[in-house]
Amino acid sequence: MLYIMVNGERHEAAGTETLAELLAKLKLNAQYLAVAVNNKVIPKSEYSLTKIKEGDALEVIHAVGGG
Amino acid sequence: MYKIKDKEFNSRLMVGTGKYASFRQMQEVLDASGTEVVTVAIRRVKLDGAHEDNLLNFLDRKKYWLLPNTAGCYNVKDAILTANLAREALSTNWIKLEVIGDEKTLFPDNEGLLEAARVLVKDGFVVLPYINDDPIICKKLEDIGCAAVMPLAAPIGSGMGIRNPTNIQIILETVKVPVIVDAGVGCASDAAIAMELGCAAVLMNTGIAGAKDPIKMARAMKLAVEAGRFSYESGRIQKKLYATASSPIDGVICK
Repeated sequence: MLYIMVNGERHEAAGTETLAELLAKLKLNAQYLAVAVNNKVIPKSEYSLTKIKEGDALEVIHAVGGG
Repeated sequence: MYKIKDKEFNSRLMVGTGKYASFRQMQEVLDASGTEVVTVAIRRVKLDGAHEDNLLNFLDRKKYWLLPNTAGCYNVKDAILTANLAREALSTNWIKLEVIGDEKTLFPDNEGLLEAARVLVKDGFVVLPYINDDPIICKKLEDIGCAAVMPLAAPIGSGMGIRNPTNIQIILETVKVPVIVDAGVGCASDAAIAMELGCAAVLMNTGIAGAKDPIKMARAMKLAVEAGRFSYESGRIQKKLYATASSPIDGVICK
């Protein structure tokens, strides 16, 4: 088990988890999302190749109404 | 018709997607406004597992050109990250760049804005910066390579209208890129004034969403933007201190 930050909150992740698996566990539909790991945006095509590491800081965003 | 970068638009009214009572109301507003460009914000998704309707399910991207913003960013780093996330989430390299300097006024931080604009332009973004009605900064942003400049009319959401029309006029004479008045428009005549000054477009959100009848106000803004543009293009008469008779002097029956 390792600890990561997702949107400023502390989360647990399995040691071997990929970004795709983590998003599925969080019940997030990747279609409209974007994710940055340690301030680097990860292309959707790389979600299943990106391993989560101890101490990673993730930002998971989507578009909302705004001006 | 006008162009930003290589993209042509017919409607000169850009509309924000925030603060509506429902997505349905937003759709009706956008429809009534005739807009082709809509702004969206970028925010963290909620992780509580609750179902959230996604804004993008309610926006027809064949009809509307999405312009994500970096609203809420108070430093260069956050603005750049937000722009990059927006590019990935929405598959667009267009960004309405905001680097805010102060919570109370939401005025832009000029220094941060210039720095962020330089990085994003270099990285291939089409940058539309939200900026004070300051001709010097607008020129610097144009020189950096921004595709337009978006000077505020008044503070965001204030509905104060165009507080400094002469500055907007000087900006229009200073830069060649489109000038889009952004923020502070409260009613239709404010939008018409922006267009009569010669601005390429007007962007608003609260002025419509905060009206008692947002759909009717969207229609009013559409007409005002069209009327203002026609008025600008037709070339107004010079202002004179004294009267000039509209009816002929010849043949007056009075002795």
